[in-house]
Amino acid sequence: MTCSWNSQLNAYHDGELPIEQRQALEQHLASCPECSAQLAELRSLSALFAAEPVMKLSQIGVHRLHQRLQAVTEQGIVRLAGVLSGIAAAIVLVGSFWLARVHESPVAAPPWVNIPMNVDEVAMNDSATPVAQYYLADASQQRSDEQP
Amino acid sequence: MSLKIDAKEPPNPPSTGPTPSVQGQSNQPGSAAGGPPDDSQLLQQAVGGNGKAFHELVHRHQQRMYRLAVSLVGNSTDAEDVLQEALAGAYRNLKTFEGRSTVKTWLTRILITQAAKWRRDRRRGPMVAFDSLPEPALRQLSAEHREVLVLREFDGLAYEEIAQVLGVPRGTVESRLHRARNELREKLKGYQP
Repeated sequence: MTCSWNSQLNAYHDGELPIEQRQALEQHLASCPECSAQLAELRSLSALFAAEPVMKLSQIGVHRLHQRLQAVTEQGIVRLAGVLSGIAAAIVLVGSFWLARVHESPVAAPPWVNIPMNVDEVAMNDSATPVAQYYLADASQQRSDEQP
Repeated sequence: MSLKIDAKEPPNPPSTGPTPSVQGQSNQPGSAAGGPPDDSQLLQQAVGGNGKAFHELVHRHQQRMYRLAVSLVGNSTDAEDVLQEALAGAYRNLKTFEGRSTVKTWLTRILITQAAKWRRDRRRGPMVAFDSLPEPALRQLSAEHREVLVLREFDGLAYEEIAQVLGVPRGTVESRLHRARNELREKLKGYQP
């Protein structure tokens, strides 16, 4: 049967147990050969890892890595430049179209320019409202009456 | 081959216990005291378009990450490819780093993700011959167990950091590590170097 403290051995070995639990486990270890043996195994396992030669990236590998990253960082700059150029081109294009349209359509004359100065100049047409037609006819009549 | 990187920053899980000091921690404050910039400052400079800052950041982590990559994929050639793709992906996703974890944890998570993608591609493609492995018994473990072991044994990460890197609760790290070590001990019994 596995000792109930067994589940805490890994955390103890890795320095992850709170101090109270650590002290309690240490007291237990003094009287439990099973847990002591397990802990010794954990320690020898970690020692195996520690004894492994450190795999180092060679100088050529470092060079290749930074060369690759150089390409990536430059890609980023080129992409940014491309985006900015695109935005600038779009602004120029839209501006050109706008200017071209402004020059094509002459400025419309203000509406008061076309207001007739003389009522006689007003042409009676079907589009005038009946009220307007009435007043215009009335005005013409008055003018003709006033004339000797 | 270019692979899409999952550069999502690991969430910062609530602390459930004391965090011991970590070996190889390079995220020291610096420039405030006039020293070199720390990792997150370098990263911010890189976000601002400073390519040299990113190269400096890579320089700090390249050997540690390479060793992890070798342990995860089993050979130096593929480890180099995985490292390159992971760091290229990190650069493309610099803006996703929000400072909820350390830069070291963020980079390690990207490397773990890249190694997992490499394993998936390898299954689909032709088998790649393994050259001499630093930990022959380690390669017989499942990816889950191998990851947690190398993060603890080679990278010296605390349980909380491993939880962030792998995106699992701290308790899962503890139980996974326990199972991984038991499994490795069994494998080593039959292993003759």
